[in-house]
Amino acid sequence: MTTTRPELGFERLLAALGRDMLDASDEEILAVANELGQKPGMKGSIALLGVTFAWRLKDQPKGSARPTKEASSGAGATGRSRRRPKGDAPSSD
Amino acid sequence: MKSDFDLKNWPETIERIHKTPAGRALDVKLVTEADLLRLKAIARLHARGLPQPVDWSDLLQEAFTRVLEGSRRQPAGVPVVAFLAEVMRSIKEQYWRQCRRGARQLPKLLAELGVLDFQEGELTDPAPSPERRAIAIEQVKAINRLFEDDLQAKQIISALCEGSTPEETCATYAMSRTDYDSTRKRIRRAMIRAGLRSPEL
Repeated sequence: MTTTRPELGFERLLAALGRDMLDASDEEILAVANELGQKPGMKGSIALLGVTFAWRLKDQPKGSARPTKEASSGAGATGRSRRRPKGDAPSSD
Repeated sequence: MKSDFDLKNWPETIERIHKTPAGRALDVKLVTEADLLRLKAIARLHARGLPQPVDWSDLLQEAFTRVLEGSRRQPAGVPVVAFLAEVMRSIKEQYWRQCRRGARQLPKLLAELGVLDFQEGELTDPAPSPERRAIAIEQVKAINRLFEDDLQAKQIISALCEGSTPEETCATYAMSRTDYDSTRKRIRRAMIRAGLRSPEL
């Protein structure tokens, strides 16, 4: 096999895995959620944390983050002041 | 209504924010809950290729924002979930382009991002970047760690990085097509699980 630049190889891998996820049935997705103890049909389910609802720190020190505008138009609003719970880093497994 | 986790245990310093763009899309039935879970897993996948200031939720919400506001129009015949997944991928690529121009702050980035044409499935060759290369190497290792005891999964992951076809992969690793297909299913299941896992609150 040829040797591929890591960043290109990684993008190829993400593209293939992303297609796999698009091909998965709803039943498979929901079954995995169920295995994890998540009930996405329930109001405020942890399965939809960061999806249909987010979070922010209260009483942040001045200048540490911008206030979040509820129901603002995008991640630029929901993402800037929201803080990721411990262990929810995108790079973790 | 009961929930699958206890909101009373949230630290008092954390306040819930309702009605994200994805939540509004669910309200107007643009997507279903299963769609949202699928997109969450895909967002987490793409977020692996981004540095810490940007997380999967940023990608997801920004994609929904663009679609809801009409700055990205869904082409006829393209399912909404596939379209949103592609929007997330293009946002990621835009992020790296902005980084190369020195605009590293997400708020500024989000304000400056332009509109790109939808090009489903097109994989661009990332420009060389030490940071991006380091993330790629680390994340391929992280994905491989999910399959510590699964040699065939690691072989297929390596083959996917090389861009090999299923036939080439089977020939290279003396793998039957049945084994290849069943291993791809294991990989898919594990990646969905990784994408849906709960944060440690």
